[in-house]
Amino acid sequence: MARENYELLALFMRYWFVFLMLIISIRAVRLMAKERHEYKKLIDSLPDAGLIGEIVDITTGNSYPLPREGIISNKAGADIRLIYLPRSQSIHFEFVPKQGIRLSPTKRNTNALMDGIPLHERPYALHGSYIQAGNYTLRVRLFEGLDVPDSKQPSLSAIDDSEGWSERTWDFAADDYLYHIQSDVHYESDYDYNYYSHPEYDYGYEDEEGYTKGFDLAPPSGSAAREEGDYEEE
Amino acid sequence: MRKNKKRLNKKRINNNSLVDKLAFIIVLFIFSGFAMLTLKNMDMQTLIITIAVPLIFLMSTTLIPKIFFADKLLLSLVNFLCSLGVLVLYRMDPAKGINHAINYVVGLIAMVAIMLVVKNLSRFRKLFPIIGLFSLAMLALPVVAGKEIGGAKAWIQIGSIGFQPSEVVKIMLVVANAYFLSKKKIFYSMAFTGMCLLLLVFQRDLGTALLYYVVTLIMMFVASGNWTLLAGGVIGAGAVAVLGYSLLKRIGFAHLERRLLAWLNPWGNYRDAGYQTVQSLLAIVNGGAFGLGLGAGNASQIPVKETDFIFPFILNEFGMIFGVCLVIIYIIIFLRGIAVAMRCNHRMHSLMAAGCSFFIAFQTFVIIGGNINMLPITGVTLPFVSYGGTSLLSSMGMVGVIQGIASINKRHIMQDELLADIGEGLA
Repeated sequence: MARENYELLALFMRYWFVFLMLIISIRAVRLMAKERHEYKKLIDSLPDAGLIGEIVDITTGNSYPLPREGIISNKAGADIRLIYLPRSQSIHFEFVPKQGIRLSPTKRNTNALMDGIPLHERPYALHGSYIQAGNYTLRVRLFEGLDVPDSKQPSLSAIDDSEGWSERTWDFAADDYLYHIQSDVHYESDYDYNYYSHPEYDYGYEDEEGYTKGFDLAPPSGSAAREEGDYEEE
Repeated sequence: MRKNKKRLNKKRINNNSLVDKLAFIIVLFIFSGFAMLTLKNMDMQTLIITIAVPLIFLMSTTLIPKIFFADKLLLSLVNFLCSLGVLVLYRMDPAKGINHAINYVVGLIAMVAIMLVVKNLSRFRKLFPIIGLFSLAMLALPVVAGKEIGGAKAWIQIGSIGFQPSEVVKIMLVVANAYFLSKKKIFYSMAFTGMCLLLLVFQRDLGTALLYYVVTLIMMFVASGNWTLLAGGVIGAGAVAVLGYSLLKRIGFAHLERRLLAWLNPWGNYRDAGYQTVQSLLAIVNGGAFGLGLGAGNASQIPVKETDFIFPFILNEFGMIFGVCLVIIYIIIFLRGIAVAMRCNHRMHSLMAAGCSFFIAFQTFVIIGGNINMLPITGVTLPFVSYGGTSLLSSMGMVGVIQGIASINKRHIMQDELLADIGEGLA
């Protein structure tokens, strides 16, 4: 093409390119905003998204939502914060499909155990597994349908019969899986979350003397517990 | 509830068709650009590349998300930038354009490979400490047997192939730091980055050192939420920059002084140190709002216009409005990366996605800032667009990391939906 003609064409086409670029960027911005909005909606319809179950402190009855990966520690930034857990006992956990929750200590001088196995051996926790760290005795409770092997359900005596168990006030049956919430309810706080997700929310539970108790009688959990000073009593 | 899900699925399909429309507009853009160059050059090679580049774009944008659950919008935009790079470089020099197209295809393969590695990251867990050692060895190579280009001894030449190890190490730095920080081992992360920075100073590659430092600092802040650490890092860097400047120029960093002079007063030194900056500014101003037209620009005087100064060249031919839109696209890529990081269930994945997003964003900021004389020139490339195989490969690798994590996030959401369905069945 002759140079003069090409320059004329280039002068005309520059508006075309700017027009296309404007459309590309506007569409990209709109698509991003739309996708974000829809993702938010999807997450709102799945209030348990990102969680695989809960960890129950069987001494106090407090339950903590269990994400796929995180740290159990006494620090403010921990995914599961146990304020009286010694610093040396903090635990890293990670869900591995088909195997369970891989537990590993973050410090070398830990003596935390999972079903009697030291955490240095990187054991996999399953539904019903017990974790002993510091003065805490925790039990893992997983969602029904999660891609993990069946738990071996260790007996309490097999783990530790020396101390701690007599103080046990709350526990769940070995085959009592948690299930993912099906609700469009928007939870205002941690307390609400624990309230609605708790298995006793629907049907209450029987205490040792055979009285049926509602969930209100169970100790509050999460941030609510900290606010009400439950830990101070310990 | 099920109705809601059906509605959501319908919307997802609608979104996919919207991304397809966006891809169609991008193809139209690329095709128009190459068609113009075909009219200008009137040769077979240009005709072939006019068909080849839109085809590569279409195939990668449609196939990769289908097979690997990748983020389609992110992929479309990254592919667009790569294609734009091929177009602009082909306009400058057809041989470089073709090289860039080959690098683009290799980059796509590398991206898919890295996506697969990231998707199965737990299998490579034991390799993370080795990655750290390997990256230190890579950075030490140019110090021992490097080739000096533009004042920095950052290149390794093996036969006719040259590559920049610091570009490859970028991904390793992000992975190693994410590993250390996810385990709350901030000291290890600091020590590792410190050693990398030291080796980069020995290479006299201070632009890349700046990138490494800032990204690590941001990753540490993301991991710890510690404002004191962030403030300390910024103040410390400022102090080191001021104290180190006078020391460094005595021990062989002469190009540092030239770059600072060019930044502070480019017009006063326009025949010497400020020549590059002045040419860049003139090219941008000459382009005006709509540019001078593809193939009709007058920015051929800018030194290293294929790599560091490609942005003013683009503005000269396509205009400032186009330049603003280009910056918006980079911002969208950054925000997509951050969205992927925020949706992660794993700390390490989250840190990796955030690190890669910040790398791309900060590199873009530094080079565009240098081009418009907002910052001193640092000698880094414009991600995806600039000429340079290693740079494109590392940028595509970082997108691969983000895409791999995006696909993990999608898998997790699908698992959550499945668990919710099981829960619904039990209820």
